[in-house]
Amino acid sequence: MIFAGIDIGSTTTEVVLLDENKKILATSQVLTGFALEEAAEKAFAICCEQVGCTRADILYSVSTGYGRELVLAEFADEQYTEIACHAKGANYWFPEARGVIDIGGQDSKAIAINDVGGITGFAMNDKCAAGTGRFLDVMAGIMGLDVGEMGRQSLLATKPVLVSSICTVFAESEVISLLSKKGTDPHDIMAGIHESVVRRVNMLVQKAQLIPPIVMSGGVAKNAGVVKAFEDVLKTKILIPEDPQSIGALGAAILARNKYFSKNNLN
Amino acid sequence: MASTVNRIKTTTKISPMLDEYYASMAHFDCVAWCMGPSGYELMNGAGVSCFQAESSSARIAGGQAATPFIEYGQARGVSPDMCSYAKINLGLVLAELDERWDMIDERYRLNPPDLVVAGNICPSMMQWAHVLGQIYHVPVFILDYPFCYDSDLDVLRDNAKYIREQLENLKEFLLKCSGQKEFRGETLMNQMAACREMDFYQQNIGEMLRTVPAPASFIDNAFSMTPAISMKNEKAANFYKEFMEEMIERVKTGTSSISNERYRIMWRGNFPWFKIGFLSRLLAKYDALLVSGCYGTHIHQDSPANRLIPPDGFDLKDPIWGMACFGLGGGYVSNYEDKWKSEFVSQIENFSIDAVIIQAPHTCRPWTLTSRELCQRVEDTYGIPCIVLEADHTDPAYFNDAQVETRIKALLETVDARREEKARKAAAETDEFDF
Repeated sequence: MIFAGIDIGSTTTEVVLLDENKKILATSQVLTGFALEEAAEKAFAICCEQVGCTRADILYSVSTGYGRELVLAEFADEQYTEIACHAKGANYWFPEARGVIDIGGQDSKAIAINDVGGITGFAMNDKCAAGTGRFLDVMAGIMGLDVGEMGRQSLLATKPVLVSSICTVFAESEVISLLSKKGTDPHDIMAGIHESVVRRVNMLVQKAQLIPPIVMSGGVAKNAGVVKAFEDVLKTKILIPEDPQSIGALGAAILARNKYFSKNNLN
Repeated sequence: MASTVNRIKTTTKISPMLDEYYASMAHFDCVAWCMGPSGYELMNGAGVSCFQAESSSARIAGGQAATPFIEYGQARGVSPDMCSYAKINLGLVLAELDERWDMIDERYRLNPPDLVVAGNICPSMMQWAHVLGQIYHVPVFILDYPFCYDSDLDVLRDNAKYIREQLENLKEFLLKCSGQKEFRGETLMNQMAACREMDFYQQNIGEMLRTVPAPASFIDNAFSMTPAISMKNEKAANFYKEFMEEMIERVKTGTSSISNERYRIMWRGNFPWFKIGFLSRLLAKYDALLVSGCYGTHIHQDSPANRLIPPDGFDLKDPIWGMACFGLGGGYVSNYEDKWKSEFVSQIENFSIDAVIIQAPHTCRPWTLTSRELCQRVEDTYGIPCIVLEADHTDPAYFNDAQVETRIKALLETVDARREEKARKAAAETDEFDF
C-alpha cells in the first residue's frame, strides 16, 4: 500500500510516500514558485519514479501547507493544517518529544504534542515576517552569505549584539547601521540576528507552554545559529530530524495512512 | 462533505430595515451622534434623533466599503491604531467635509450632528466624541460609567444611582439642544416597553442556541444586534419576535443551522463585521458552528449588575433606572472576575462548547486586554482548547483569510486530538477491568 503527504509551502513543496507500516518509501522537494499545481505534479513525479509507481497507485493522500486547498481536488483526498502534520511528523522520528518548533519561510509555530503526535496546544506568529525564514533571508542578503553559512559563522560570535526591531524591514536598517559602526564584529551581529528570531519565536513557545523534549522542524532547523540560540534560551538540547523540511509532508502521509485505515476499519 | 448553512430567514430583513431607519432620521431637526451606551432611549422623547456611530461603521464595513474611508482618514492624520469604528467614521466625516462625493455611497451619507453623546466605556469613545465636537463645533456630553471593581450589590446600586443622575442631566441637556419645551414621557415609555419586549425575545433566542444541534448560529444572533442597539422601537421588537418564532419552529421540526454539527464553538469579543459570511461558510466547511458569544447580547449575560433588575424585567414606571442598570450590566465596566463568570462560565457550562475563539481586535484595547490570560484559564478550567485570533472588528487590513482559516482548522484538529486521547484513555481503563 502507498500513502502520500504533500506540503505546499511558500518556498518549497515536499512529497513523502509511505507504506502501510509507515516506512518511508520516497521523498522529494521542489521550489513552489507561483504555479502550485505544477510544483505538486513535479514533486509527485520524483517520488513515484523513486518507488516505481504512478499516482494512481496511491491509496490516500493528504495535503498541507498554505497551498493545501488549491491542490486538494487534483492531488489529495483531504487536507490538514501544518500544525497537525508537523505534530505527527515530529512524533514519527522522536516519539518522546512533547513540543515542536517549526520555523518556515513565512510563519512560525510552537506546537505542544502528546505521545501519539496529537496536538494538545499551539501558537502561531501573526501577520509579521520577524521570527520566520523570510527574516533570515533578508539578513543573509545584507551579509552577502547564504542562510546556512550565516548560521555557521554566527557561532564564532563572542559578544552578540542586540537586534531590537520587531519589523523585518526596520531590522534590516538596524543591521546595516550596526555593520557601519567601527569595531563591531559581524559575527556578533549575525548572532544577534539569530537571537532576535529566537526571542520572537520563544514568545510562541511560552504561549503554547512547550515542555522538553522539543523538536525543530522546517528549513530554519538546518540553521546552526538558530538552533544554538534556542538551546541557550530553553536550556535543553533541541532534537533535529535528518530532513526537517519534509516533516510536514511526512506527517501528512501518516495522517493519510491513518485515515485510510480508519475509513476501511483496518488495524 | 462540508455542511450547508441554513441562515435564519428573518435576518435578511435587517438591511432594508436599517436603510429605512437611517433615512427616517432626516426628518428630525436635531441629530445626536452617539457612541457607547449613551442613553439613546431618552433621545426621541426629547425631540432628538440618534445616529449610532459604531453601528454605522459596522454597516459600512459589512458593505465592504470601509477601506477607502480608513485610508482617507489616515492620510489626514487619523492614527492607524485608533478604534476602527472611529477610523471609518472620521474618514467618512473628513471625506464629506472635503466634498468627496465620488467616494461616498448615497446610503452612507451622514446627517451632521447637532450634539455628540458618548458613554466612556473606553478612552477611544471620549476622544472620538471630542474630536467630532471640534470638527462640527457642537456640544459634547460624556456619560461616565464607573468601573465596577466590586460586585457587591450595594456598590453596584450606588454606581447605578450615579449613572441615573447623569441620565437625568442628559435629559435636560437634550431638551436644551432640541429646543423642545417638555420631555415626552410617553415616547420614552414606549421605547422602554419595546426594549423590555426585545429583551424577552433575545433571551429566548439565546437560550434556544443551547439545543444540540443548534437551530441557528450565534452569527445569526450577533448579526441581528443592530435593531436592538440603534432602533429600540416597535419595529425592532417585531423583528426579534419573528426571529424567535422562526427559531421555535426550527426547534419543533429539528431543523439545524448546519447540516452536520460536529464542533460547537464559543466566540468571545466583537466580530469582524466585514467577514461574517466568510466566517459562517468557513466554519460550516469544517462542520463547526458558533453557538454562543457575548458581543451584542452581553446585557443578557450573568452580569452582577443585572441583579439590580427584577426577574420579570425592569419597572416601566422608572425607565431611567432600567437604563442605568443596563448600562452598568453591559460588561465593559465589569471587573475581571465578573467578566470571567458572565462571559465564559455560564456559556461554556450551558452550551456544550467544544472550543473557544477569543478575537483580539487590533484596534480595540478593551476586547484585547487579558485575552491570552483568559484563553489559558479556559484551558485550565475546562480542558477545552482556546485560541486568540488576531483580527479586527472593522479594519480589513488586520484580517488575513488564510491565516484565520489555518488557526481555526488547527483549533478543530486540537479538539479531535483531545477526543481521541479521551477515547484512548477510556479504552485503556476498560481494558484494565477486562478479566
